[in-house]
Formats: sequence, C-alpha cells, structure tokens
Amino acid sequence: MLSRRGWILSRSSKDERMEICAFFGALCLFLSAVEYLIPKPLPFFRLGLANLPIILALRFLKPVDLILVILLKILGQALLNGTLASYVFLFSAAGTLISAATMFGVYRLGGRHVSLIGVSLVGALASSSIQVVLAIAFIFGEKARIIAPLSIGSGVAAGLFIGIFAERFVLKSTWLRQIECRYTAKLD
Amino acid sequence: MPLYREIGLGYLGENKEAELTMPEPTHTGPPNRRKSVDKIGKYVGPVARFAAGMAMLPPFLLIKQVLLKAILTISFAILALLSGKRLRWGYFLILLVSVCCFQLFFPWGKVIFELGPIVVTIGALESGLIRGLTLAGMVFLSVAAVRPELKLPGALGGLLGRTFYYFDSLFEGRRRLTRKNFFASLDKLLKERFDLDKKHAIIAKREGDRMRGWFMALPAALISWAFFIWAQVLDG
Repeated sequence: MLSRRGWILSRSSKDERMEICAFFGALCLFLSAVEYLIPKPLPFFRLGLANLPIILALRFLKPVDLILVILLKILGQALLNGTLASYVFLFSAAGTLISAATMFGVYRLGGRHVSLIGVSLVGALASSSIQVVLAIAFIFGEKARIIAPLSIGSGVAAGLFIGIFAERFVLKSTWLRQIECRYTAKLD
Repeated sequence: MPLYREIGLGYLGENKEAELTMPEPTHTGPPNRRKSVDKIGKYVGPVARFAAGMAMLPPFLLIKQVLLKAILTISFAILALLSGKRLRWGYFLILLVSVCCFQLFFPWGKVIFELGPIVVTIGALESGLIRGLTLAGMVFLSVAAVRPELKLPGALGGLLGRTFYYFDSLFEGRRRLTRKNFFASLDKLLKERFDLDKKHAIIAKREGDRMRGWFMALPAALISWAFFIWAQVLDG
C-alpha cells in the first residue's frame, strides 16, 4: 500500500506478492553487484548472475509477477548504473526480455523433462544471440558476425554455470522453499 | 543516506565498495581515500538533471564532425566524473578501437595507408570514430544525467523504491557471504533480510528539484545545441 508518507507493508495478498516481486528485483541488483566484484576473463564477458532470481522465480511466480520482476531488474540496473539513456539499456532490456520469455516458454513446455540447467542454457543462448544481432545492427556493422561464436559461446558457458548454481540453490535453500510456499498459499 | 546513492555499480561506473568498507579515519592510521562526491547533485535535482541530459542528447547524436563530437564526448565524461563516478577508461578505449576496426572492413574515401589486406581510408576511419564516440558519449551523458534518486511515476516507481530498499538491506549484509559456505551464507542472509511477517514502514521522501537547479541545467543543455549550430555552420 502506498500511503501519503511512503510504503507501508500491509498483509493483503496482493501487497505480499508485490513485496516478493520487489525482493526478487532487489536480489537481481544485489547479485549484479556481487558479479561486479568477480574478475572477468574478457572485457565484454558477463556471467549473468543477475538472471539467477529470474530463473528461480519462473518456477512459481505468476507470469504477470514475473514480468514485474523483470521490469524491476531492467529499470533498477539502469538507474543504479546510470545507463537508462544509453545503448547499454537497450542491450540489457532486449537480452533480459528475450531470455526470460524463452526460459519461461521452455520451462512451461518442458515441464519436468527440462532441468534448470537446460532452461538457463536456452535463456543464455537467446540473450547472447539477440545481443549479437543488436551489436551488428547498431554498433559494429555486418562484419561483427565474426565475433558471434565467441560471444554466444561465452554466453552459453555462463548460462551453464548459472543453471548449475540455480539447481543447487533450489535444492539447498530453505528461504526459497518458504517464499514459494507462502506465495503459492496466497494464490490459493 | 541509502547505500545505492553512494555506489556506482555495473561495468561502466566503478563500484565504490572500497570507500564504503574503509574504516573511519583515525589520527594514527593511514589517510583515508577521498570519497567521490556527486558535485552536480549539490546544485541540480534529479529531474532537472535528467531533463537537461535528454535535451543534450539529440544535438549530440546529430553532429557528424569528429572534432566537435570528440569535444562533446569529453565534456560528457567530465560531467560523469563530476557526478562522482569513476569511469573505466579501458572499457571505452576498447569499445572505440573495436568499433573503428570493424568500420575499416568497409573502406571508402581517400586511402591513408594499407596494412596488409586492410586498407585504411579516411571515410571508414571517420565513420568508426563518430560511431564509437557517439556510443561512449551516450553512456557518459546517461551516467551523468540518471541518478537512482530519479523517481519514476506510478505504482512501478513506488515498487522500484521498495526494490532499492531491499537492495540496500542486502548490500549492507554482503560481507556475511562466505566463499566456503556460499549457499548457506546466502540463504541465511536472504532469510534475515526478507521477513514477510516483520512490519516495515519506510518513509519515501520525494525531494523536489529546486529552481536554482533548473536554471543551472538549462544553459548546460544549450551548450550542446550551440555545438550543433556550429556544426551546421561548418557544413555550410
């Protein structure tokens, strides 16, 4: 609930769902900050730790809430980094939106036949591919096709890492189990 | 002051975690590193700043002269530095060089020299420099113009405020993460920082932009347009 003085938590179902979305958005920003502290082998290489909460969230959040988390991630990163008015925002938004949409589709269609590693790999592939397309269209031009294998390859490797991380986190995290139960109970 | 106001995250503006984790200065200890301060923010509010940045963008994009573009790009970099951001120059240098290199694959105009199979032409080099400077300049301008304090309107803006609140809370507890027990420590941190049963009441103050800020931002935006008019005059 938004009062005149600011945000006050109430216990209504919708507010609690919004709180969960806000926290998942914050977790994206936090992991993005953690990733920043990890040294990178290549200047443009990104591990994509910030996508982890989205992979975790797509397991139980309603599509509309998942979209909200994605928007919070994109806008939050753009405001924190100050890249809202630059090409970086376009790349970030396109990569996140396409990977989230692909991961959501694969997760829903694949069901128990696809693990989170598979979901993450597909998301990373989609994100890297769209970013290569954008790089060709807006930055480097047609010849940038030669960097596509390196860019997509490193993206997929990062996706594999994030997928393994997500699988392990789902197995070990009691926090996630609690939130999932609470969210599902509120929906019921 | 919320942490997110003090740190610059991402791969463009440098994280100032080092400053945040430094101990309080003592008389006997080594001198503390100077914390980068947002010098523009003292005078210009986030909305005026964003508006001025957006007003500067169209003329910057339309300028096609390398020299004028370079001058504006450097000016934007100075603005970003005045915003308290430490820019990663290596990143932008690699961006500029790589964009130029890719443009050289499409030779046009007068040949400057040949480097093996690559023919370096004035047209391709200028095109690469303009494109690279445009991209770097946009990022510098964006970094200077966009602040986390900029409130987005509506329910989404309010929710973003909550997100930043939780981010602050998580970031404060970041040192509790251990490499050895990463999953367990992360799980514990998340449990501590997100308790739905705990009552929170956060006062979200909306600081209004002072008129002085608007009066300072307007001339800055006009400078960019002045450069654009100058470029048109040079073009004849």
